Amino acid sequence: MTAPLLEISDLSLRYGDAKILNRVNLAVAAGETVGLVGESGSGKSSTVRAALRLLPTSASLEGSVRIGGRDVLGVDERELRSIRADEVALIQQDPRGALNPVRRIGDSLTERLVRVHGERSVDAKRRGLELLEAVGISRPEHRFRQYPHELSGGMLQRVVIAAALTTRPKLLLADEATSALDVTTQAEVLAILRDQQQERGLGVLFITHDLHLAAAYCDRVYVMLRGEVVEELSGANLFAGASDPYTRLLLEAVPTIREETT
Amino acid sequence: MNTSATPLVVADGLHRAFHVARGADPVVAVDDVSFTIEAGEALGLVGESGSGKSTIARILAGLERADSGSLRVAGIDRRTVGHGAAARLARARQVQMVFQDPYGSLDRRLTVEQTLTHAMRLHGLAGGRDAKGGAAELLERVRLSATQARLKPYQLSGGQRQRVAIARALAVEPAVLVLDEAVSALDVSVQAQILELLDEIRRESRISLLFVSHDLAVVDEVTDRVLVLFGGAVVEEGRTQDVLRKPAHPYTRLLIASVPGPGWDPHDVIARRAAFELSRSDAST
Repeated sequence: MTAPLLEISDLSLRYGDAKILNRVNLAVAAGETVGLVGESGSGKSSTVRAALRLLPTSASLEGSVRIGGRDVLGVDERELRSIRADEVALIQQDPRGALNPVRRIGDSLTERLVRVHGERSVDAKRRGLELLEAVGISRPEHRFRQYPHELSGGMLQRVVIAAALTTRPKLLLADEATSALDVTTQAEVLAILRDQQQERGLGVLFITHDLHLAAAYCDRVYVMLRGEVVEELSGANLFAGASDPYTRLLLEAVPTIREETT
Repeated sequence: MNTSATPLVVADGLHRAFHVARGADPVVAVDDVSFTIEAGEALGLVGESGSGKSTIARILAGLERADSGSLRVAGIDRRTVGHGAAARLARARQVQMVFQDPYGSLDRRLTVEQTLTHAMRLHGLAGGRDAKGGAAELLERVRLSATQARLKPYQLSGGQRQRVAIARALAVEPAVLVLDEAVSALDVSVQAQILELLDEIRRESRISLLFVSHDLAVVDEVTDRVLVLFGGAVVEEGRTQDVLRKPAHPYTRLLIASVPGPGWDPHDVIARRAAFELSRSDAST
């Protein structure tokens, strides 16, 4: 097997005396979908943000993060920008926070391609329109000229997902990226990601609180509790195979439509 | 349940359209929707974004008006009640609402206790010491401590805030509680606690629930009957356990098949969706 796209080793994070992460280990290989589940405050988002060095300066980090073999925590600013630009894309839950409210959708969508990757704006626009259509947005030409406030939250999230895919990242960090979407829209978006995985080996770290989704969609799932990875299971075996008491508790709390025995 | 009496809530032929842009056709959010809720009964509303479930919830709560149709709660027509402050208060007392976002629905300047005493005083339910005593009782009902009564929203967790929102709704002793995605933003274990709380409240009182959620498993757990909405109209209704286990309408079947579970495949969901859209366009031509 080739080196993983993302390799987090013994990653610990503290703010002063507050321990946020404690020796987290996880890896994502090319073409793999890896789930990260756990409750609010368990450290899922902190793990992702630490992996991209998107933390305040008061954060103290130990351990290592390698993306595409490069040591994220050790490189200088210039190389960090290059890793962020070429290797990885991040999608967060709130699309309104991810898009500039006074810029048109089309500009937000093509900005990275044009300004960071130096593509011609006509090519960037073509790719942007293709992706908007692929994520299920009707009348992409019209949407291109609209502003974020003119679109619903679900539409905007699809724009953000399209924007993340424009630069053909090798690794996608999806933090509750589809949680606000309808089940059918969620399926559309996840089908696109799965296609990209099969076509070009996109690796996805998929943070979700939806354990059924993690079980159905992810190849492997890490369960986090209070800043630690307490268990690693295959998606297919998440519900049946969990042995950690916390994982079991979490799984039992999930409401399920059960067959009536009456 | 006494079925010969008139149900507590009777909605008949509700319709609501929104004018989104000049010159454009209005968007029909609620299209001829009728339903009833008995005293003590929990009715679920399910459907995708834009299916009209939140608009119906808001109409029942009096936050949105219906263009036509009638809506009666305990025999009183919600549409003909006057617009004065007294009439608004009377309307609000009958039906209370809990929203998805507990961060946005509480006054950040008020302590938990003040939030509850304000609601009671606003409705003339208690003054002075009585209000404090009332607040203490409410807090006990939603399992919050006396220490937490002195805290402000930012000092509480999401689940605790939602308990405060439920306590505030119960403060005015409403006949109907409307919950719009009220547990959707919560972690599964916190969600389970709030669902248990709702169950307790229902067992203690004859309060009726209108429960809006995109999560079918949660609706299954909470509600007695369910309406399935698509494009603003009811496509299927019945006992929740029947509808979710033996769905009759193709849209309900699509909705259930879309929920991630064993054997779920996103491409399969898309194919089903396309087949459903196709069958609808065939039916309309």
